[in-house]
Amino acid sequence: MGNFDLEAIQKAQKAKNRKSIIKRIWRYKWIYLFMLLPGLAVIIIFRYLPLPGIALAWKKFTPTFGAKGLYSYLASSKPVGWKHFESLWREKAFWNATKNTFMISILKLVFGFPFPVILAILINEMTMKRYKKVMQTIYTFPHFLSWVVVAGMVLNLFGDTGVVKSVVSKFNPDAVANWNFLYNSRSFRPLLIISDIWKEGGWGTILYLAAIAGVDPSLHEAAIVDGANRFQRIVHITLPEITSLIIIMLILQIGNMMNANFDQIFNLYSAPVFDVGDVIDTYIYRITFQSSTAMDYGFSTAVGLFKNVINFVLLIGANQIAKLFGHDGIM
Amino acid sequence: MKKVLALVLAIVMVLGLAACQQPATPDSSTTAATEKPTEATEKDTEAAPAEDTTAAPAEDTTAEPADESTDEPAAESAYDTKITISMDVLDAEKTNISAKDEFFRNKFNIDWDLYPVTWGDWLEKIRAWVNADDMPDIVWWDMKASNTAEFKQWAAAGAFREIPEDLSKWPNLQRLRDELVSDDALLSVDGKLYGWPSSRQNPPELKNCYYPMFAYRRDWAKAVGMYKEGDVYTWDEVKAMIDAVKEQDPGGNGAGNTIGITMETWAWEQYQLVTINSPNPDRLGYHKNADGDYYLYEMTDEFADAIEFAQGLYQGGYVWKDTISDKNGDGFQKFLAGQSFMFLGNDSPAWFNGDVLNKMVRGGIVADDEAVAPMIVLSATGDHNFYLIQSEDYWTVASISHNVDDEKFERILDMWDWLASEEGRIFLVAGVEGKDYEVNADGTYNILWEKDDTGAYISPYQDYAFNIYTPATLTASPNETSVEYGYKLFEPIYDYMENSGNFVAQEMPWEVMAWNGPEYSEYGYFYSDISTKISEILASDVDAHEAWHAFIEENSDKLQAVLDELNANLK
Amino acid sequence: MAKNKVKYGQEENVVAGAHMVRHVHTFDVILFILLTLFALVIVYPFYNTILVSIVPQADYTRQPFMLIPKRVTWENYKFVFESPLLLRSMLNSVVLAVVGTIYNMVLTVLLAYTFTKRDLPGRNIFRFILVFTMYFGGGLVPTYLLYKALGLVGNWWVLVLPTGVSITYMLIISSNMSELPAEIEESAKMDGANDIQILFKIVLPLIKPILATFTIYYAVERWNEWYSAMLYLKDNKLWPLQMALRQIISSATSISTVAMTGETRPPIYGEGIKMACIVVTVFPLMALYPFLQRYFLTGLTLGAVKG
Repeated sequence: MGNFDLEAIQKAQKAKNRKSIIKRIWRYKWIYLFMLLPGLAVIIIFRYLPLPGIALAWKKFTPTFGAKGLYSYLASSKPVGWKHFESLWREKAFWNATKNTFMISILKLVFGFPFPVILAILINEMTMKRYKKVMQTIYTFPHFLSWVVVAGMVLNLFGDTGVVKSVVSKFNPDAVANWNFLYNSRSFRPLLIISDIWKEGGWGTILYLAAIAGVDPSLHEAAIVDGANRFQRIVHITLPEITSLIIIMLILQIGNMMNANFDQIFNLYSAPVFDVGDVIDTYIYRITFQSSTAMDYGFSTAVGLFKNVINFVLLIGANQIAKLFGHDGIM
Repeated sequence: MKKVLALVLAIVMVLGLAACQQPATPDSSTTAATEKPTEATEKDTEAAPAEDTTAAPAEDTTAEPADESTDEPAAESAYDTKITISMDVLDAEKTNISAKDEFFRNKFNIDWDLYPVTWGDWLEKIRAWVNADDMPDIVWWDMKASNTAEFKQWAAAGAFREIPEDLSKWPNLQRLRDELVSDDALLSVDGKLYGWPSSRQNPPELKNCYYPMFAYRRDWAKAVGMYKEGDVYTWDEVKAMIDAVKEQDPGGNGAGNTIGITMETWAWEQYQLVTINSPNPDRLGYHKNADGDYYLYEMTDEFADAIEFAQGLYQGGYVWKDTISDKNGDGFQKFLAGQSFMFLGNDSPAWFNGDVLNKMVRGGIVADDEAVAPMIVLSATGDHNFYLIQSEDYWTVASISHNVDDEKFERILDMWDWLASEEGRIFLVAGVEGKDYEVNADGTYNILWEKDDTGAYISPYQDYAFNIYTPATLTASPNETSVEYGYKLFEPIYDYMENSGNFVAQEMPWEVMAWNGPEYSEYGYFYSDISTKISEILASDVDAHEAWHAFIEENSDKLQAVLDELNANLK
Repeated sequence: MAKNKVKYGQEENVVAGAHMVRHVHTFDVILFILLTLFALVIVYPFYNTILVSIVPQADYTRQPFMLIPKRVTWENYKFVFESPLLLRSMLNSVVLAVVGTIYNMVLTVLLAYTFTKRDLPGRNIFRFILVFTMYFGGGLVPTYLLYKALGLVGNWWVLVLPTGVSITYMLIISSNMSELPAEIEESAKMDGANDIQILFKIVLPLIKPILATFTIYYAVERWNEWYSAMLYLKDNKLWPLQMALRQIISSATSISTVAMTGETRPPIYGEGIKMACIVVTVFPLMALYPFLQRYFLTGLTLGAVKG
């Protein structure tokens, strides 16, 4: 089974056909035309044509009325230089949100990321076929619920009139005297991590299970013949086979660190936990929709841009590190 | 893959079929369920529509007695060309479907092109549509005073058509224009009016105040022996009642399950618990001090007194603890379900009638319509008055798109003018003359609808409170065909407002609201920062005065910038 | 002998010897308990969702955690199914899920295969162009103006066309394709197959579990679509299910339900309506899932292909 040195193959191929680039392009003409072009065209039309809008991060947005053309707003919006970024820099709440975004993302990476991998392996180890399928189906259910609903359940469970409090009070009446689980800076982040695992942990296994399903069974058979026990087979066969997928998922998640799941946090947080729970996306939302002042597209474009530049840098960085360790990465 | 898709299809088909078998009979459900006795008699009918207009121009309304035998009173349109008018509207799927709507369309020879909006996405849609220059002909939105800067920016850039200074062609609109204060301040740019406010037509004793006030379980107050005639209480009495209600559990909720105060999500966010108790409540927002300099009342150490009081309520367990995280209206649901004693919300008669009494009586939560009532709680700090905050004197604003041509523009104003007339108002609440009502010789109205065995009218329409007709004006609610008791419960409250001398309206600083300078536009009155900080203080046991002082210090630079701007321009 | 001990997940390869007594290991017991517990933690909230949708509001509020409802009411479902929006939007969503998923999968798979060609001139540039869009977009107003110019505003296709390709999914699929042994492709080439034939006849069948995974990922995304519909579709006849349900929930919980003209309908409670809506949207997907599952769990014997 293929442990190919793709790098070597690539080099060999390059050496073999040192044809002119035009010849190579001609060789791939059908690939360009039928495979690359459709997707690329869609991306260019729908994602690149609106892109000049990023310039609004340096402008005061002013709409135009009755004007023709895709970019008339760029002319009508006056440049303001780095004003939006400067006022961002000055904002204490923004730095608090940036810090929290990183903290929460790192916690999710450490605790949330391995969970579906481990769960997928455990499911795979299950011997009762029917039961296994039932379990796996059940684990995916929470993904279909929106965070509004899940947050509602969490608040009901842990709230002042919730069931957790009443159960705890039966064992230790003193512990509930000052019951404060949801509006408490110490318990808020664990709450985020656990509810995230509850909701998405099972759904995450689908991909890993699909990858595990692709593992060549003959490898296991050979290992059994060699006397490998179950644990050894997991470590030496199953895990290595899904490593490249794990690395891709890891890179993608690192490249997504500045997005700390708006829906989840927005539906669970409240003012008393802003110091640990307010993230960039909730911050943008508050300054755009919940502030008493006029909405400023320029300012929110600037915040979004800041966030995504960092995300992009992280992605490239993670990808390069993966390559250093000899993995393919995504780019 | 094909198999998968086939499966998807098959399953949803099955679902679809199942859905088809559900009897979809909106009509029967709306007319059949009228078991609740209503007091809407013909006598009430006569008294109902707004006070001064009852003496209707009789010659106008009785001049053309419609033939009762015709099912569809075909309104002969005065307009030759048919035009289509687009407008955004709530509950679009249930709007413009009745015979009444057909009458209106025929009368003005129009068709509607309705863009659906919901409460949740309304502002977002309007912003996208206007900013992308893709708006409906009538841009109707829940514009608040705080949206003024944005509105003026749009208007100045040419988004809307000017509403003419000279409204002599439209006398009813002229009358509304004269009554309103806000339109010139908030909706004009360079002296030109770009938005039509839907007048609230509030009763004068309300002094243009909004209604965030308490509703309470009068039956529980009676059960614990603390009920006071007139429903006026001090906070000491309220606290004692809450303690008693929790102790004695008159609602039978089980030990520990009865809650003191719940409230609307926005009531918490807008720190209503603090403002109704602030010691100097005629000075909320930016006001001038003795020297004529501006200051922001919320950013004073004095304001911390009210915060401290609210903190005491929260920490003392009088307020439902989870109010702080309630984003889905659970607090209201708890009141409806009979779990909480008091509720702080949008306590207007229409709301009270439709949302509270209707649900609680029908749901079997309370025995009768006397069991729940609005209530006055006197301020705990300062001079112990009853405070309400003034707000815009309109609800929602409609603007006419710059794409609308002259013919359509005039047609829209004609429509609005008629809707603001006596006939238009009775059209809104009852319907078409000759079919739904007739005018008596003395100028009063006679509703022609059938009644159920309790004497309540059975409406042939399923109209919603807000629809395509709302932009012209809000009809004074309640109306002659709706359940009356919700309104009756408010009579003592209005009475108190009018006569006690203890009712204080927290004034709206119009000149600041209308101001559009860069610093003010950026920071406003620091609403979200203040709201966040108050939430934080209430939920913790920090010293409210210290925390508030620190907060003021922290924001003093930004605040000073706004104050300087206001002092320089508005003084 | 050795084969009889095989107990890992690939059932197809387990030769459970009839003559052998199966040993239940401690590991299996622990596994069973752990996985069952996790399942219970997940199932209860669902059960609760159904309960809330069928019990009267007063019962639920007073006792949020119940096992057996004392009273049952169908008012919430009646309210949801009475809406004139529901059936049409359901149909819209089915069509959207089918058309959209096919469109997404075709574009994604084609792009993914393109990037397996390591010596394709411009490969890195093209890939950068795509990855860039994962992070940078023009924002709301510029996007709206573009859709307006393309005639997509108010057009049902606005729900489909712009969704295009999820770059994330594309990269994962591409990486999976790259891991296939190169000889398979080489030998096909020898037999005179072109790239399109290789992709559809050889590569795709080999990564079926991954394809099934992303098919359901896309299908769920399309099924849950509401934001574009909210912003760009002005005719509610074109709405997908999620958007219609948002409208139904909104009309159940907002004050616009206060009728003008003496309308007296039975009391409707927001929470119950919400839960009924969840049941209506989520359960079709959940019912579908077990059917797709076999694609994920069935191991493919690469050896057979190779041989």
